[in-house]
Amino acid sequence: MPVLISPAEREYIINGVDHNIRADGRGRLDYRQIVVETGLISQASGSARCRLGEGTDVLVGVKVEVGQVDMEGDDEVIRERKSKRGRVICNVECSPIASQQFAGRGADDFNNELTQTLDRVLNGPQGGLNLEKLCIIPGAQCWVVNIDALILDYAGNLLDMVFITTRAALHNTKVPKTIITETEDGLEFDFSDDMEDAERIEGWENVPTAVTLSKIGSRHVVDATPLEELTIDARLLVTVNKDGKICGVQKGGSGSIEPSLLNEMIQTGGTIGQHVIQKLDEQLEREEKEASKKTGSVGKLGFFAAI
Amino acid sequence: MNVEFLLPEARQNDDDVEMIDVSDKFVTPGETISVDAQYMRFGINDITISLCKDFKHYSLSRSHGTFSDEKDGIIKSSLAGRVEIVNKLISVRTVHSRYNAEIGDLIVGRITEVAQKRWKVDINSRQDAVLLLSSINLPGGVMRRKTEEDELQMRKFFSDGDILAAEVSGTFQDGAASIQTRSHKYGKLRNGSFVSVPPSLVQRCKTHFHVLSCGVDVVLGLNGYIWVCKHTPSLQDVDSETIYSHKNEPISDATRESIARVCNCITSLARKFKIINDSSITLAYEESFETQHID
Amino acid sequence: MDRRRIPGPEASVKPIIERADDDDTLHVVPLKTIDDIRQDGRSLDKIRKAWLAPGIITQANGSAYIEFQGTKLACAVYGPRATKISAFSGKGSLNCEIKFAPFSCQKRRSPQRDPQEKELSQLLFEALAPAVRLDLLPKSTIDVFVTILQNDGNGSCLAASITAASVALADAGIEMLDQVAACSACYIDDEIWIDCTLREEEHAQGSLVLSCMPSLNEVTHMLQSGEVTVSGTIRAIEQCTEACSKIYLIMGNCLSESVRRKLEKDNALDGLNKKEG
Repeated sequence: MPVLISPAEREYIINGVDHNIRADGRGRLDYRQIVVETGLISQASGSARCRLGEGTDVLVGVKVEVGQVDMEGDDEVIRERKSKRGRVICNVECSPIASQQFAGRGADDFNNELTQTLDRVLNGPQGGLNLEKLCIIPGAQCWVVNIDALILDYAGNLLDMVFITTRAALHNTKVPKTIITETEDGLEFDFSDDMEDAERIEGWENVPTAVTLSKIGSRHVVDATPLEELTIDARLLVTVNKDGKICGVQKGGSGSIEPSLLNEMIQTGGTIGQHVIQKLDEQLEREEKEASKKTGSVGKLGFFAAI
Repeated sequence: MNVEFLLPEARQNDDDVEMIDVSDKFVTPGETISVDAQYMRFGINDITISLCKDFKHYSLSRSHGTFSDEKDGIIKSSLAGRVEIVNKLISVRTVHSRYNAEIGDLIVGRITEVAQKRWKVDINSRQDAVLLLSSINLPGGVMRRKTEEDELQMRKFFSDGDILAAEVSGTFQDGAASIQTRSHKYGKLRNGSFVSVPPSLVQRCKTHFHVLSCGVDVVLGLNGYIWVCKHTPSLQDVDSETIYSHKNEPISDATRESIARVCNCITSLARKFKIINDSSITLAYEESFETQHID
Repeated sequence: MDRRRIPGPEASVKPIIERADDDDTLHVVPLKTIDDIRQDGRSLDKIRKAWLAPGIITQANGSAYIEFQGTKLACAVYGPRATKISAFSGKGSLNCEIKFAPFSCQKRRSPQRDPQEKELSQLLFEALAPAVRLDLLPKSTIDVFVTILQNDGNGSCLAASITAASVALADAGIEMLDQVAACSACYIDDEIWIDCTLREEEHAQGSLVLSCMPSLNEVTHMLQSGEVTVSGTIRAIEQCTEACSKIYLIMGNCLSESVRRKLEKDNALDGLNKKEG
């Protein structure tokens, strides 16, 4: 992964972006090809892996566990609302195998940044998941959805891939069915171990996806490669859900953006995000159909895939 | 606006790989390559063998990737790769390895550090190469002596991150190479794009500066770093003011697309472990027009 | 019968608790009245009263203290000083750290830096970096430390930090392209409320923090969370930018006041010296 770039290359990239012909021939708003596969990890409630182009490899595992309801809040109304909800805990980790600068403590700050961004979008009503459905006993127990993302290889455009993979993993996630019985001590619950009874997590289709728009020169591009990332002034991360609502905007990088360009980028991000969600959903459906066609055990290719 | 999602594909067995030579052997570390009866030691790296079961009665010298047991003189491999015999030299060539600098190699490198009277250059090897201030062309004439001002203004010539083409002039004991850019065809590279491939795919040939028919120049560094740029006719006496400039010339859209296409061809060749030279790049470039689906 | 003790009633009833409404819903103090006046008497698009004082910390090269009614924080700037890292860098580096005091929030915060503070520090850097002329300070570091003493709104804390840091940098005499003013807003029921308190934030569907350089008309940082339409976002950006220009005026006045006072003090001392000398 290059950390330095020469002024000649920088100028070449900036001019290329201006003329809509990037270093690898793509247009400004073109993504590299993405390979998606779900259901790789048997121990997880849901999992997915995405590979972008030649490089970025993200593996997301979702584990659903029983936990305590979170009842913090100033206001009684807020506390009441929270007591009837499940929780979502996110974590993103850049494995040292992705790049040697992630070894040891090198990646701590970077991991934290990615985790906070993922958490800010997924934790809350804009995260899409039906948290009310995840409550088992109001005020006491609920399902806690642990979303863990692992970066296995790095070639740019990390956050977009983390969000796309998370959405695919949540599509694949099944929550065990709970049976609530009333005893004299109060409510008690049990859940069946049978995976056939598990239901798909509700609200996965509302989970937003992210589009990172990088400002290079006076234009913006989508899906930057590592060399392009070294030339950007500023980045704008726009998270959008399938209804076109913006679920989060975050600016990154040490440059500034003019307000009209900012508005343009948000609008572009919204349109592209919806397009990505639509294509991803089609792909996930296609994968399910392929899996149902094969009789017998469905062999997942996982890490043995050619691409 | 283009987004493409794909399903993963299963690996296929490459049934069409031809074995080039019958004596092509693939070895792993510790495997015996050949047996000898007597040997003599010359220099650091070679041992001669007189008798050899697997190969004809050559007297073979041992080179990179092999070691021998002192007692019985058996040559064993220390790497996982293909055995190569060139005349009397036996060596093992791997698929993926760090580049080992040899004198006379043409390499493409990136400056990582500016130090006292020298630059450190990353050449995809286990050590950064050293470019001494005395090994570069100073503007104002070939025979100009370097002054104290030059030492203080080293960043004016090469700064951090710059890409250059150079020749290996020597190696230090620790394995670091010493490079020089004394010829006019070496020096700072501009007007193009950088690609990185495994070093073993770039082989030694007469020249490493190729001009492709599409108006694109390719500099194939033996260390696996490749520079693809717009074609510039070579000038005998380049204006000394511009050799260290980092300003690009204007590049047309068609050239830009060709450069991008060539870069993609090189990356695909690298992915399939094919040798990279001007003929393979040209073939791949022509093929790429057949399968073009995005305009 | 026992006449020496006062007997309680024979039958007891549950205590009657006064409720504003008759039905069983929870008692809620409304966030705003019908005329869109908030709890503290502001309209939806007004920022809270701000109090800003530069130069309060003697040890620092530059400092500022800011209060937005409930939100109180102090910022100190040390630098530019030589970087200890030997790697060459053509530009200076800006190191920002935000820390919540343990007593600043409702729940006690740990004295160690937690992940949220680390992220806020990164956001503060991203908001200030476009404005500071780091290219004039090679091989130097500028340290910006912010301590939040009282938190009345997470968005307003970040916005106040950015504003205070910008004033502190100017107070330290570091060259900047423009002052950075920041403002926060919340989306409550499809309306945009500027500069919300902690209570108002809890009821919000989304929040926005925006920082900009008003004279150059450039946005240096934007952070939005919550579900909003694209048009809602754009409207909020416009309103925040307007609020930022008001904050910018306050910052400008404070800085010029403080510079004037310092110069007058210098003049007064000069006068004294001349008299004695």
